[in-house]
Amino acid sequence: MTVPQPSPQTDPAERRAVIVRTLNLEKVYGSGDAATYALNGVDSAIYRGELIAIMGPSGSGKSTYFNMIGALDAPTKGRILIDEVDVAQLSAAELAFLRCRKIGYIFQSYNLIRYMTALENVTVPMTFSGTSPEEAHRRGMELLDLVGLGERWQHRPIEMSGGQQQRVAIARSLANQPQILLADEPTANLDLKTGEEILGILRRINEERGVTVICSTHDHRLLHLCHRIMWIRDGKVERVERREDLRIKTGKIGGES
Amino acid sequence: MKEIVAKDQVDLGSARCVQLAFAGMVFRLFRSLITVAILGMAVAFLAHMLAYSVMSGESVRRIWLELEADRTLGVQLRRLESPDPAATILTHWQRRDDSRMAEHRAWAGLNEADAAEIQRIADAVRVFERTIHSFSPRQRAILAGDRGTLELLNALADASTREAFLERNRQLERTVPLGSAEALTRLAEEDWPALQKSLARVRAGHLRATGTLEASLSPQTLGETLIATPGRVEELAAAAGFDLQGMDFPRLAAFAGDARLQRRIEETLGSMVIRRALSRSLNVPVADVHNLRLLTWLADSPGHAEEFDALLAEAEAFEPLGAADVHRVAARALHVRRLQRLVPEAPDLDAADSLFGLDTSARWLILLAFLVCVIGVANAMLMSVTERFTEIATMKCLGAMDKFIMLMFVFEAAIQGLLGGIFGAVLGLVLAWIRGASEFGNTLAVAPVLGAVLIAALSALGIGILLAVLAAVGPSLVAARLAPMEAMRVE
Ligand SMILES: Nc1ncnc2c1ncn2[C@@H]1O[C@H](COP(=O)(O)OP(=O)(O)O)[C@@H](O)[C@H]1O
Ligand SMILES: [Mg+2]
Repeated sequence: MTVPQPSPQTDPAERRAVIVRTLNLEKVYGSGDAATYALNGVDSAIYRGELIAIMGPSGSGKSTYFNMIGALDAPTKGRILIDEVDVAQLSAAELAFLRCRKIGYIFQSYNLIRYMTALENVTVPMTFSGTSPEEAHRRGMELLDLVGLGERWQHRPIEMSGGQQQRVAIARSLANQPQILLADEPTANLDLKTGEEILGILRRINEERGVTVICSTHDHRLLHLCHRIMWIRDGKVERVERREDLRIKTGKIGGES
Repeated sequence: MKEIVAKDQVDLGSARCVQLAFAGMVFRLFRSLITVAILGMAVAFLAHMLAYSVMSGESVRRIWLELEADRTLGVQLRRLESPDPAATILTHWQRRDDSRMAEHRAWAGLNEADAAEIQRIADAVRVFERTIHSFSPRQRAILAGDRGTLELLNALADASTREAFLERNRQLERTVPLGSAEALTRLAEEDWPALQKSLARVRAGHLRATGTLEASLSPQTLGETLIATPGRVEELAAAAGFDLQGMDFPRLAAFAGDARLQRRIEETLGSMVIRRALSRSLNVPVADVHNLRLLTWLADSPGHAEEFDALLAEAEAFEPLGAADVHRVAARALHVRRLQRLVPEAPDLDAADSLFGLDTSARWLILLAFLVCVIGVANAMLMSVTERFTEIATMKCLGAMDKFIMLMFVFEAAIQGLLGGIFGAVLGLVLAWIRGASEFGNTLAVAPVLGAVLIAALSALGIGILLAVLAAVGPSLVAARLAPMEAMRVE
């Protein structure tokens, strides 16, 4: 076996820089007979500036994949390179730095801190990065404006709808100008219309700010917003497609718009 | 491959930690208040124990000293009237009471060598007494039967009794008094009988002195002369060979006067006429008119004393005693009675120095209370951590370091400890004061020990914070070690 390389057929613009790369990634939960191979040899490459959708049935290993590339958990085997840095080599403080500035996380259940206002939630990562309160306030308001919640900066999570909470969470994920946004099923708890708004915001962030967006979803409307789709099944990458190819092959799916 | 461009996350100051901990607490106000209350109770318990112990200890000490002053006056009076018992004379030597020892040497005509010999043996007897007293009551019963310590020493002069004593002492594995059987034998057979002879000589000298004083005062009694002309008694007592150091004759006269007045008040109850009259005034059956009831009634108000004096003026066999004095003496007698009830025995004045004078059982009780408190707080903190798993993990995803999370929970506990501690310390002081006031009334000493009481409250507060932090260590570690991927989990 040669050193695994990202599948050559994925993107013709091969010259684009790879921002996240996984090599023969394996994650096993439990051991012996009870061992579950949540990931079973995942080789993948995600390019700087793209919006990639991770699709797959429930239990296929999407969340596990996110944990790995988000440097939230260590793999059983294999390597993860973020911006060509091997995550396994990082110290605890360096990992915290990475999570704080390089990656923005968006969760299925929003995970806003309940006792903080929208603005306070958005500025938490800035606190951790050592930004001055004045600067944090200014940038926090800007980000809330970006997601259309500038007026509601004083609201607490319980006073907001799910869609609004997720928008605050998106603003928070952008707090320290990350290069990567990781969104694990960001629309799963939302109704169709609100979900579409959220996907629209993610798309806009990707276009306007050039942030690499990695988004797992069951929502097929994402398919016509993303650049590529990575299909995962049983802990393996089934195939990676470009949206254009998808249109041609299965026009029905994306053809509703 | 590119060189690694990873940087360390910045370390945050604790101000932000405190802020976050506080915000979290306010959000869970009810739960936090319960924790604060638990801590407050424990601190209140400790503060109350310490403060009460300090205040009651000082009150007892002061009361004892006040009673001692009265007792000393009594002893001084008695000494002018009749000779001290041998045991009392021995005590004066053991305590090295210079004034008494000088008197003894004069009365018994002792020279330096005699005095040194008495001193030596008196000290040996003291060692013997101390050793016997260091045994448990059961061991003492086995070794001495129902004999007093000096009686035991008398009995040990007999060889067979001594043998039996030493044998039982061996069986009980106790130290031999004075270190060896030889030393004990010498004390019991030679020294102690010799000392008793010297003590008898001193006593005889004392008897002569009291006789001389009595003769020179005759036909008046000592008490009457003292009350009328204290200066004369002082002169005559000095002439009779008494050492008057430490004796204040005007005070002695006042004391004797009060004692005589109290006796006279009590004597009136011997008359049926007075009893009947008093039974009407006090509104109780004649049979219930007794000393204490009369004194209480007299002390109650000056009006009662006047009524009593008027009664005496009417009765044939009595003369009025002076209402103001009657009232004062009755009040004083009741006061002393109350003090005697409060402090029936000599307090251990040294005990107050050790840990606010707390006894062992109190210390165990405090330890137990704290254990319960720590477990309660640890449980509450663990709950606070468990229900915030997602929040903590999210914070870690957003760049929080383990140390920050840990500190956040430690600060939460410390804030709760501080609040509970302040509340508990104040509550404890109030409780201690209420308890002290109900027990000691106006004889409760607060002002003189205010410093120690405040130190007690502050230490209780400090211990409260310490306990809270101690209880938080485990749960905080759990929180700090939580994997950030927990944030991804969806219930
Ligand atoms: N913490 C865990 N312990 C044990 N098994 C796990 C754990 N997390 C995920 N798994 C298992 O790994 C597999 C992949 O799960 P997951 O990554 O959550 O899938 P998805 O997000 O695509 O639904 C599943 O079979 C799941 O049961
Ligand atoms: Mg999932």
